Amino acid sequence: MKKYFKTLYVFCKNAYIRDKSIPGFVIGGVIFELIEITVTVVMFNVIFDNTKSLGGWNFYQTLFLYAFVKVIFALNNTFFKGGVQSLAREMIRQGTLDFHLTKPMHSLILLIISKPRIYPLINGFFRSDTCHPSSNFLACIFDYIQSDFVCLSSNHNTDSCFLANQGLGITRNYESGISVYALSSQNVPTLLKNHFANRFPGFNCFICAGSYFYRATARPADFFHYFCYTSI
Amino acid sequence: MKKYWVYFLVSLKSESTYKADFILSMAADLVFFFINFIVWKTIYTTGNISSIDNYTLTNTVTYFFITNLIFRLETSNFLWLGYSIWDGYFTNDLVKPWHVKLTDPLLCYADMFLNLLLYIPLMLFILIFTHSYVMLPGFTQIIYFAITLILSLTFGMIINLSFHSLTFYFGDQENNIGIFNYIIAFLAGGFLPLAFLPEALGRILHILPFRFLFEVPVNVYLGKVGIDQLIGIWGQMIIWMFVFYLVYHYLFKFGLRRYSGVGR
Repeated sequence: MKKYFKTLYVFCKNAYIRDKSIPGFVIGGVIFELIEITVTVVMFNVIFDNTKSLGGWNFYQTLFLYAFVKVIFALNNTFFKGGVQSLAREMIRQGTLDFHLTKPMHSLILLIISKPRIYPLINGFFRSDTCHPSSNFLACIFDYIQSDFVCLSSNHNTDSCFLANQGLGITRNYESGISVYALSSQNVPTLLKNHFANRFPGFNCFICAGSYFYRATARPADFFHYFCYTSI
Repeated sequence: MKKYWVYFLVSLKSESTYKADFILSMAADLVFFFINFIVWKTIYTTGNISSIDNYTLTNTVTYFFITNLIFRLETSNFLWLGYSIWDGYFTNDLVKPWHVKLTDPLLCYADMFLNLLLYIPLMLFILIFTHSYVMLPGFTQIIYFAITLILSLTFGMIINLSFHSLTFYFGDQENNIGIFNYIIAFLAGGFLPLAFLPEALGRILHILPFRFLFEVPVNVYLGKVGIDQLIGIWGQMIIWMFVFYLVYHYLFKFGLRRYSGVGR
């Protein structure tokens, strides 16, 4: 098992070096993703402006589902899609599959992990966090662990949702155009914090960085929502 | 003129080599139509809505029916100028005894024609399931729609040729062309009728010329545009085509001076 992870690490390192040499490709991919997210947010806003629920799914649940599916796609695109695609498109046809068959590893696993890409993973972060409060699950956890806060606002400009399965009530304030979160359940984040903080000294720094990253990625969707649906 | 006709026929033949590819991708397109159909049908029926911004359920379903067709014929799928410049294949076109600027449009029209032919059975398939939700216009309206569609596809082709010409200056533009086309499809009403968007955004989008690519042809099909307005719209489309053609012309002209092909 260890050798597979080591191999994956080497492949990922190569992918990073390759992507670093053509930054335009990465930036282009990420910009495309941001645009797609914005378009999707707009479409969902248009749909749910006209109906409260769609087959029993409300706005937040639909966006959560959308983001969740896209995160799975992003993980697939990052680690597996390249390899599987090259099997179908090149390896069998051009005869390069032999290279993988002769290695002292399971050839299918080697082949699947052989062509990872970095930027779909960045897109996955955007997907997980940009869409809407309901999909800001990770951001809430990061925020909560970082500062131990439970906050904040409830007024007429606030959208609220409740993710029953997660036990989390999440609130976002559009008045300022900036996200504010309130967690009604402390179990998951507290457990996480206690678990990791005792084991990794750099954990708080990681959480801090994670929190700022998630906040930054949440901005485009916030801005668009604020521009189109709140300020006008 | 005959040589161009021959090139068109050869393009048609070469593009029809892999028929399975065409048919499978078209079948995939059907999925998107049916998703839109089910979603909007649910919205209208569960909310007891008779119309959204002057679009009834029939109008909306027809809107997606026609945008699906336009997406199938959209020129961004059939232009290879940027790629041929980037990989050097463009040199072949340069040395052939025809005008180099005509090769890509001819190939593009051949592709469009083939796609239209192959899409007709799928349109009939859609109509079997959604006939009570899709509007079928009269003969004159179809003629108006066909003219508007040809103009809009040509307009889209000229815009795309401008993007592709940027390859002369900045190298591979594959990603950027993809981004531009996605944005343009949204701004043109390819994903949603522009009337559904927030008012401020809609106002901006109505000033931009991109609405001629999707929204205007569909509205012509739906009969939302009168003949008196239609003449003005065709005029505007021709003016915008001319503007973008100038952009393309100069980008191509000066770009060609930077191009060099080296063989072994």
